[in-house]
Amino acid sequence: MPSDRDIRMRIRSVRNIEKITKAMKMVAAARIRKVEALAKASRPYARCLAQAVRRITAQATETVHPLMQLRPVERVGVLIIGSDKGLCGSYNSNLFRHTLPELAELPGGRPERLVLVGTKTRRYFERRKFHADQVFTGWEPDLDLAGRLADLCTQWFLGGEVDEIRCFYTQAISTMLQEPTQARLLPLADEPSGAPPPADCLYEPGAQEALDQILPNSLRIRLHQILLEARSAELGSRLRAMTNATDNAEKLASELTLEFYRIRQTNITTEILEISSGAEALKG
Amino acid sequence: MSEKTFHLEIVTPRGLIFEGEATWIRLPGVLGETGILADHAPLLALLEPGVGVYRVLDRDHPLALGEGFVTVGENRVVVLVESADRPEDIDREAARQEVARLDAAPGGAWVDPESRARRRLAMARQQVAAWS
Repeated sequence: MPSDRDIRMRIRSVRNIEKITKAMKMVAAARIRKVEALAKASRPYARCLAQAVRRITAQATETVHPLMQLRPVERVGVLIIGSDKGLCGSYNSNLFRHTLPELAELPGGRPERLVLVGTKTRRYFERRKFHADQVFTGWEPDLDLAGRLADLCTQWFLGGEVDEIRCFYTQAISTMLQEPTQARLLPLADEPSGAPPPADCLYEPGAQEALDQILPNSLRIRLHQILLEARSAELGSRLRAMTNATDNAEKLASELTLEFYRIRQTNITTEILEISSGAEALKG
Repeated sequence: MSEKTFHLEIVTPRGLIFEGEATWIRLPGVLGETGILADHAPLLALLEPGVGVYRVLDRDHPLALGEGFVTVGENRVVVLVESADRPEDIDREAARQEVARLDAAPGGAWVDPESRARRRLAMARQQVAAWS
């Protein structure tokens, strides 16, 4: 049986862990608000951009823009977006478990080009002997990273190195619910246009030039939103994991405290018994 | 004089800069300055970095605009740009230094399109900051 001192030490360490997980929980909660505000701020832009793309493609149908060209899919480029840091529950392992079988089912059994985002992603896939063409670690969900990823994808797609680009990431369904998912980044989908195309439209300088600028931009904005979503899912997952950890620490600490009282009581009882039986013996 | 208005939205990836009724807007198009009044014909024009001005209730509001484009249709004008800074958001000294830095680069700021665009934006920021 552990002594009361052992138990006291364990209580102290559990309380310390609780302090850490509580702090991480609060940090995650604060950061999730920030990321969600960013995501909210970028939504009008994404919406207007999608409208503009629909508007041009509804009219300028004589040629298909290279970024929208559907080709028979023989080689696939893959982006995997995980986290840099751990202690976020099963966020990464869920994503990787979802991704791995999908990768095996690709034509050729592996991705032709692979981009890994996040330290954890890199560790997992490099250990499984995947060759990564580009790795981004220590990432922030900003437009800069989105732009670099978009440039890579565009370059590979237009260069004919891949016929399709897919992205694996985690979707934040709510703060408490995250789900691994995948999205096709390229070729850009010809979204069904809900609104009727407007009357003849003037283009300055021309429809083709407009598409040349707007389509890569819409890819970048899409990636930015995916990055924000993934980060928000990561923080949500961490928030949940840390909430659970704090609750568990709390429970453990109170159980240990009870145990501590029990042992102390047993010790006192034993001591009293010893003293009183000693006194009895002396009286003898 | 009550002028006819149109619905104007100025949007950047960082958020909505302006949404409301305006009577006039001037934008730095790639084919030159473009002025838009109410009931403009449908238009999609690419923009280069520069100064944009929109008029609301007879007051002109300047903005330093990044690259982007504008769409016009059904009396709705949507300006989608990388950035749009109001005079109060701009550090004039920093903008001035940015221009000087780009000019000091070997060959000047005009050698590659990217630094040219950066210089345009910095110049626009400087102008907007000095707006009165």
